[in-house]
Amino acid sequence: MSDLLSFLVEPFQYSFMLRGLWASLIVGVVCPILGSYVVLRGMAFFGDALAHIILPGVVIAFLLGWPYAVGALIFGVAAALLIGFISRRTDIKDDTAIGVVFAGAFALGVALISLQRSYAVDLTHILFGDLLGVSNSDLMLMGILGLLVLLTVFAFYKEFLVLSFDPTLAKTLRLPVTFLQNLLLVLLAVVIVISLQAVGIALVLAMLVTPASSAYILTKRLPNMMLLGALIGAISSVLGLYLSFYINVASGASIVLVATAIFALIFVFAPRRGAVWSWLSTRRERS
Amino acid sequence: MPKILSHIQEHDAGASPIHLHNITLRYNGVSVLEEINADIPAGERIAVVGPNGAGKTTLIKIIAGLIEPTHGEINIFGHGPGGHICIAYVPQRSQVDWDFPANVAEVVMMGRIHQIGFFHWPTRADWAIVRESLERVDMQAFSDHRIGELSGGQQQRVFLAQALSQEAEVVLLDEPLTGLDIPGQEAILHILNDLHQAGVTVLTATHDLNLAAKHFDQIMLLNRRLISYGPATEALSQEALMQAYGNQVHMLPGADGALILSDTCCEGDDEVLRS
Repeated sequence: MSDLLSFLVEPFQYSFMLRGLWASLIVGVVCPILGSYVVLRGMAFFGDALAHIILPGVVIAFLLGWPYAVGALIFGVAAALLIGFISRRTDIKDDTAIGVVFAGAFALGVALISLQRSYAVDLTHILFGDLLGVSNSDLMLMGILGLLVLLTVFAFYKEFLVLSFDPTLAKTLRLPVTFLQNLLLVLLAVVIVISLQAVGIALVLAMLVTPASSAYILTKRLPNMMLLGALIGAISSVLGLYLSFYINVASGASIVLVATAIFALIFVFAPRRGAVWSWLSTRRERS
Repeated sequence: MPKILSHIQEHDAGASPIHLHNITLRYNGVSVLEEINADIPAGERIAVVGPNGAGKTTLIKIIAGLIEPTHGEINIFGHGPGGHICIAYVPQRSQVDWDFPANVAEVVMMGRIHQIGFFHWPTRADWAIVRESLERVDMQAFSDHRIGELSGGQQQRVFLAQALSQEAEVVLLDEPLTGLDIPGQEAILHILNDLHQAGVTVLTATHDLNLAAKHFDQIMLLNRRLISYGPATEALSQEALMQAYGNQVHMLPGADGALILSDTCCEGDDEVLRS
């Protein structure tokens, strides 16, 4: 028994592990709640693109000696609004507009890093996260931004619900559709910035869509989907950190792997909508 | 806060619910609607009929304020449609994400979003209105069913309940009867009748001339232009039908001179414009 206890407690005797735990919990809870809209509105590609677009912002902030979050936020919000503008105002299809801005911005980021002779800016930390390097002030910023996102999602819950369910209805009910769409994009940019240090820009997408889509399979209503998604995200974060500590894999990757494994289990075994269940019920109908 | 984000239009006393003046819409130079003029009095049931591509869906979207006409003016109770929340629009079935995690009561509650207001949550009174709306379309038993579990006719009824909870005074429907069985059609027509008795103006696009003639007060026969507008006996004259349907209309030789239409419904009808 005491072996188990020490097994559970040991990683968090290190303060950097404890800070990593808090950071990953914030990401694990906030990402699936906003990610529910990403899943329902089919914005996965957009989310992935937005994560990569902030790379030059992070590099520039570092070169100027600003907090990385400031550069990332500026680039993220500007790109989110630019993509929205391009796809609304031209015949260019959404995913094409996203692709153009995404690849261009990412290339700018890589170019800026390659200009640096010193290896002060570590590309792998930006790409894959640096959970164990989270400082107290990072943690504070993540907490404040996370709280802001949750409050906004709560305040505009019914408006985002109508917008996601039926955009035409949102228009005939005279909701400020453009404002709400832009607000959602800005929130997405903020969530990506929060997740940057935990899982890195290459894996943010997983935290946005994987726990939320696990919850989607199991729930009937959006509020339940959000809460269950947050629970799955938090569990993935904690289990992922243990995995990272004991078998020594990168923390961002292990969190995402746990979330993916949970999704796979739910996808296969979920009652009614899981793969096994539907296979069995088609067999039953045939016989 | 709501005032800043959106201004709600008051109604002019005595103004008709829908007034169309020279409505013309061209899309990439192609004419979709030409000079539609009509004045629709309150509480009427209007059927908009015409062949595929006649502009029925487009006209409804213009009235709903989802599309701006190229020329002409549309007034809802005396003002442009943009600021009105008294208009409910029930689009063709295919336009909603039926796998969305929302139950029937939540979908009906969406109609009340303006009455509830920004930063507020539905009160007990709002839920009572939702319940009453569901009772009026006989769907109260399905209140907590996921929206995707319903049949096509039941989904249409839920959207009508949403229009009721919105307290809409103008209800626009696009092919609400298509693909429904006879009892399903009867149920919808019964609800439209209820709306009519409550003084709500109902405008329905349909390809079914028989249903239109039987269940609606006025017919708008449309083929890019407004060919005729009036009670079925006048609006669906042989001459008007020939004009609207052209070579799709065939005269049967015989004493009563029956007409046969080879026009069939309806998927992807005049979807020239996306809203």
